[in-house]
Amino acid sequence: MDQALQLLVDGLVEGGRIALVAVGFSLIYSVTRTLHLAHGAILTVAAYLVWWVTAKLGGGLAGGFAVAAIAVVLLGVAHNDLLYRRIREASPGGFMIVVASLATGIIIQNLAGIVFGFDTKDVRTATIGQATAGLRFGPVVLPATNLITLAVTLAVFAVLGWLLMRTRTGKQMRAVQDNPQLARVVGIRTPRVYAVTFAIGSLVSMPAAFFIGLNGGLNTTIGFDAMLLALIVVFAGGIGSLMGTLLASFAVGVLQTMSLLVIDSRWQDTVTFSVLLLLVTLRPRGLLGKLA
Amino acid sequence: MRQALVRLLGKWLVSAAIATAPVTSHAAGELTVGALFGMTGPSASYGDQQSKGVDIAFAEINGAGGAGGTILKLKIEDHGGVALKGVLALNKLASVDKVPFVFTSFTNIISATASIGTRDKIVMLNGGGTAPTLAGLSPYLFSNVPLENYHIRNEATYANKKLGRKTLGILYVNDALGTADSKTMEQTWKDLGGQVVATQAAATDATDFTGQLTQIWAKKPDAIYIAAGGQQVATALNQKTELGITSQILGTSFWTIPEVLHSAKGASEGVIFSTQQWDPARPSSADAKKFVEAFQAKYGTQPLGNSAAYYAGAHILGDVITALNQAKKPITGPNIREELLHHGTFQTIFGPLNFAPDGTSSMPLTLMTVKNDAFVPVANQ
Repeated sequence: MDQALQLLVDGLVEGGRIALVAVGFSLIYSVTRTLHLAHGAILTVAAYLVWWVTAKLGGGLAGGFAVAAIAVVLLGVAHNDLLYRRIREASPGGFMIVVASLATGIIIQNLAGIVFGFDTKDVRTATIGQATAGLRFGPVVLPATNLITLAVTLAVFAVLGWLLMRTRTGKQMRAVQDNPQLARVVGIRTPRVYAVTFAIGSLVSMPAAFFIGLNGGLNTTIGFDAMLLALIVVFAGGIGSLMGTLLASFAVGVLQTMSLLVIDSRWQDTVTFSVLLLLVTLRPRGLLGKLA
Repeated sequence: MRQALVRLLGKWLVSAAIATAPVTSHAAGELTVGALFGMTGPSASYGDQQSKGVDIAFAEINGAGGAGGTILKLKIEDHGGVALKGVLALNKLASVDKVPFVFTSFTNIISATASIGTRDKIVMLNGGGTAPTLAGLSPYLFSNVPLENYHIRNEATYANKKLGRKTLGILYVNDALGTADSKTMEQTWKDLGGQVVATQAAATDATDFTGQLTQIWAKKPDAIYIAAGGQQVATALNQKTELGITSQILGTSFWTIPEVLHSAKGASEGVIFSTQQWDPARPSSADAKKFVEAFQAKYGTQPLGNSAAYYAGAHILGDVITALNQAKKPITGPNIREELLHHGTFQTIFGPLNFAPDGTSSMPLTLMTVKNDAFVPVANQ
């Protein structure tokens, strides 16, 4: 029982990391219908900047996150304004956007390697110091970094939910998501909404790569690797559903760790992806269906 | 006219054949050899250390006039720890650079490229891949480091008999090396009368081992053997500490890397692993001392075991080329292979070394631990 509880908590933390990557991607896709695969590479740049400012420039974690925030917003908006907008106008349908997004993602990933080096960076020691025993809650041990990951995940979803439901910008984003033509007719400037969506989508996912790097080291591919699971989670949770994305992320995380109770760990991914396949087959719209 | 044309064509074909044959792949008095190192990715620190070891050795050999007059040059190709990249890299070294010899590393790379070396008669000298499955993999593959089965027996015997640990958990990365190491450790531990209570695998690119460690810790084993390398070792050790796991940690021979000391600072204290005898703080011979001093002068740090292994390998190559030059034999893959097998004892900084017909070698081993953020022989604690 203790073991199952520990695995459950470990799974929730893993789910939190997946959710952080997925939330920005989900927002961007649901509002702009852009399969922004470069999202993962942009997050990787964010993690490198946090590491670089903290470890190399001595600017502290806050300074690192501030620089990273500016960078991801600029990169996200630049992708939309300089690349996707032109492709949308010239070639409606979306496939060329996927190709372009994949290409810029790989370019960014390689540029990050050239600038920062291709070796794995030790984010943990450089930013928060050496590992210490986790906090004990009864039979469950929860490292402080995992607790922070969970807290940040829930905070990001809460703030984004509030933004979408309660603010003028959020309402405009939802209007564009529901019907871009009608939104234009009623005076909503869709290009501006697209730009804002890319900025917010990039910003809310910014901590994701940092937490992944904190857990297992930072290298150029971590963002892209994380995108694979995030992509599946977004569709399994239901396009446009924040809650669906969060639930699907936690479900995948918990499934991955809890499956260890009954199967050999070598079959972990097989089980996870089989369940996801079953879900999207039986319920093609995903767990939940609409934005927030 | 026709005969003249045929003669001309014949001469051209002979010239072309000579120009493309490995035997003339180097200018007179100069030999370019290849290296398949992981210079990028999660295991980049291995390639960095390995190339530095070769670099120091080549500087010494060339500074003394070359190996029997032949100046040695190194062409590094990056495999990034990925088998497919390793295959492309060795194909390039074989077909473009036409090298007769490569330094190679990583079990998965060696396993994937061994057939290319055999096909193109390129000698592959391994100073870093240690899976027991590498023995006899290719007639052109030689390992100047002991394979992991020797290390596993060394550390398992110490943990079981000397420390009295009887139950063992195993965490391994599900690749060629991790799988082979896991099986070897399981059998060895059972042979020693111990019990393996839990075995967990992790994906090759895993960055989270908490689930597997939780499962292992549920059985409260006396010791946990972690068959992983690079940043993954540091991650697993840090997560072990965060989960409050207190079992004795046993590692692999390739743990003499900065990640274990720095990325797993604190979490690696007290781990035990077996490696070839190498203690840069106490060099065991004049040659070893010379290497440590040269390395420190050039790179500002002490050489770890990985650098030392490739330094030793580069000097073995130097001895072989010298012998071939003295015997006035052409420097080809087959001749290098013959010389490695029949040279007799090579004097290395680890001690005397002989190659067995299956390409393996044995040498004195030592048990290492981490104390106060430094690698220390267990006996010197």
